Amino acid sequence: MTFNSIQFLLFLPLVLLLFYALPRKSRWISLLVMSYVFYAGWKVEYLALLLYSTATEFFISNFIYRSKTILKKRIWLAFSLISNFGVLILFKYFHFLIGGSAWFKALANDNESFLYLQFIFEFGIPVGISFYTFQTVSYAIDVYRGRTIPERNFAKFALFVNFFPQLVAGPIERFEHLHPQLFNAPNPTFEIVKKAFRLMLYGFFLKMVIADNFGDIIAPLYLQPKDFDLYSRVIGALLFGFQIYADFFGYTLIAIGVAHLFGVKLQDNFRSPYSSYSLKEFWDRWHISLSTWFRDYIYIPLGGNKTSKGKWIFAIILTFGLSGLWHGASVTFIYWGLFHGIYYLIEQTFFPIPKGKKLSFFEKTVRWSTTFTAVMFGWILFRANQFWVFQEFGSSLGEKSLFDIKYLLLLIPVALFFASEVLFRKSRIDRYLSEKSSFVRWTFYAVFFLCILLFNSRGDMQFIYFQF
Amino acid sequence: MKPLKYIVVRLLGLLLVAAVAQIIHQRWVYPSIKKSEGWLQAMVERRLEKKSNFLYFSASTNTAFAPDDSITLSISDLLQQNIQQAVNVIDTSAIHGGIFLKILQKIPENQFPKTIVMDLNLRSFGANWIHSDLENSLQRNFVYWNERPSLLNHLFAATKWYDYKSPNEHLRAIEYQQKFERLPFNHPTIKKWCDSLFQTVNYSEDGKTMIEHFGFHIQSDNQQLKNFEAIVALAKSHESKLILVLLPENVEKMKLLVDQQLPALIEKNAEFLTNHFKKMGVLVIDLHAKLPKESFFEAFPTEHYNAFGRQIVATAIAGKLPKK
Repeated sequence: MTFNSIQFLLFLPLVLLLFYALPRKSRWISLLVMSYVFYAGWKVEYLALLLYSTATEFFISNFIYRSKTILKKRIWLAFSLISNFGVLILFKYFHFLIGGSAWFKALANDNESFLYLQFIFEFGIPVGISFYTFQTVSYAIDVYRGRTIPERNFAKFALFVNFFPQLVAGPIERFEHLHPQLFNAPNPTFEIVKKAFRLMLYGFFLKMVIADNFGDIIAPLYLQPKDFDLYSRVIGALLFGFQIYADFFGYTLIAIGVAHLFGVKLQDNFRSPYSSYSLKEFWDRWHISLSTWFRDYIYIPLGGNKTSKGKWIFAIILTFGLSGLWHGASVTFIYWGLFHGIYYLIEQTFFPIPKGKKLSFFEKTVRWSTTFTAVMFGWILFRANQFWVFQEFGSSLGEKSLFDIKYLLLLIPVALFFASEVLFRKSRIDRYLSEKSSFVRWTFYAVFFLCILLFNSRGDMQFIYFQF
Repeated sequence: MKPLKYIVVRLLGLLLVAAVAQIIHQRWVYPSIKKSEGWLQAMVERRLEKKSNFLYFSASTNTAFAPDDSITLSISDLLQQNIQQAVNVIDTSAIHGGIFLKILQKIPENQFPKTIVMDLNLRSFGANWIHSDLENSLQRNFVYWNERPSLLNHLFAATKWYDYKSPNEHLRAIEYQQKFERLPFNHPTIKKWCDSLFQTVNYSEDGKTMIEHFGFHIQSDNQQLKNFEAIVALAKSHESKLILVLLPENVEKMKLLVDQQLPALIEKNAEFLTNHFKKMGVLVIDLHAKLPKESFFEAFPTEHYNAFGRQIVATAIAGKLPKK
């Protein structure tokens, strides 16, 4: 069940009805049950994995907390990491690492059980596994570090793991932030409800109008880049950059909006990333919940920037490499991560922006354009499922063009999208509109609503981040 | 009262926006969408304009012509010549029993044909056909085939409120059939069969393709079989006569490219289908092994015939239809 489906539009009012029909103290139970229903909407079998992940983390974290010695705590933490990452590796990376290899193929040919395993792991990546795994791992590490007291009630912990608005594509929440909000949340005020609908409206616009239409336009380019002319390749690369942003940001806004309806405030995941003047700034603004996860649980434990140059380089490359791998089992994702890592190292070594320095217009222009170009270049690697697709972008030019007269009408919502991004650059749509007059607000709503109705795409696009 | 008024006024505002959107959409946006994505309805309506007792359902088989064909008449044209009566035809690429059924369900009572002739394409019972790249677009057609406000049709298509499967789900279904569905021969699965063919000197890509597209065993739980069963029931409920045409396959070439087992499997499937539908009181014209290999002008797909082949099929069908 995706957010942009009729099923979800029916599901949400039902959950709200159930939630608010119950006394405040019991409301979370309806949320827990409906979160499982939501997840089962993809595949009932995946529930087993989610339950496994929840159960192991619940018990292990309590064991960590109760352990008297640091050694015991470490052993339990190791169990937790092996258990969580084991499942993740098995389902997400098995085919990439082992299943596709010649020796395993030979083994699978002789034994049907292995063949079935290969099939399961090739086609059965459970939706959202990377998101909930990272959420539970952060919980276990925080318990180990003594920053979090573990939950004693299994069902309450289960709701923290599978709260449906953010279950399948984040934001990856921290226990101290999300958990207390899930129980005894006050009834949302009328202002909050309005805010929620504003976020959802803009989220649906981003997803259904911008991301899906851009995705439809560029799909043929990424099948055979060599057939296309230079103009199409450049435009195609740019469009993917905006597609992935609109897709993921759109999803996040809907998730945040839906959570608001239950009195829960999820963290921001994007803050105008394409307005960044450096790659460092870009990562402070893009997929914030993931980048802060990597910062807190990988980069800083490796020494961060308070260590020797060599160790710092290692920490950066490893963090970005893992971040690439997190996105999927493909070398192109690893190369994408490494590309960002190397660019980051060069930028921070030779061209860092000193803290507090005010950039001149010229500096801003140069820095913004180089950062934007680098990010967009990286997206070609990200979108190319296989390395040869990326290589074809540099091959001799073809004659096909992405441009088609039928896309002309799309310029209307696209112009609206860019105008909105400029307007909402310093303040998210909900905050921006809350300061405006009723007339301005309702004009915005009407225009976005009209665009969703008129320009939504009918293609085969799904939320990009659901596959991670 | 104040909050209620607040909500009602704004809801009315949104309704007004929706109404304006509907007018714009219906007038300027929808026609091109309907043309590119909801073309099936227009095609069926156009094909049913002519008054006829016969409706022939086919896929690309009907109008596939060999480059050196001296006669470029489709099977339905030849059929008309043979029985000297008008025959309406519904044909488009990748169409199959599931789509035939949905089209029949859409035909109004007063236009429902007295006699339905329908291709029973063996290949369409396999996963490769049912889960082809064109399936989603065919299914999406039916969203637009509804007398609802155009905006709603558009919205339902965008939110995939139809029999939608993601590309990964389609691929998974094909892989599952090839790797795990049991065959009643020494080669337990399609994959094993292809692997063993690979070990031989006879190996060719065409041979592998043949196995992948015909190497399945039709049983009573086959989804396509259920589609045709529903068609039989529908025809009966309208008191229409249903004739199923088991299309010719290039069995001679299969013997050469693979081995005797593939034609034997096709034989087994053909026999199963013929008996199954005969038991249901349907006339089945079994042509699956009636054409020599020279009548097939493409390596793949196999159900494209030259003029001679099309004539054989048309004559066989005509023999079962009343002449004027």
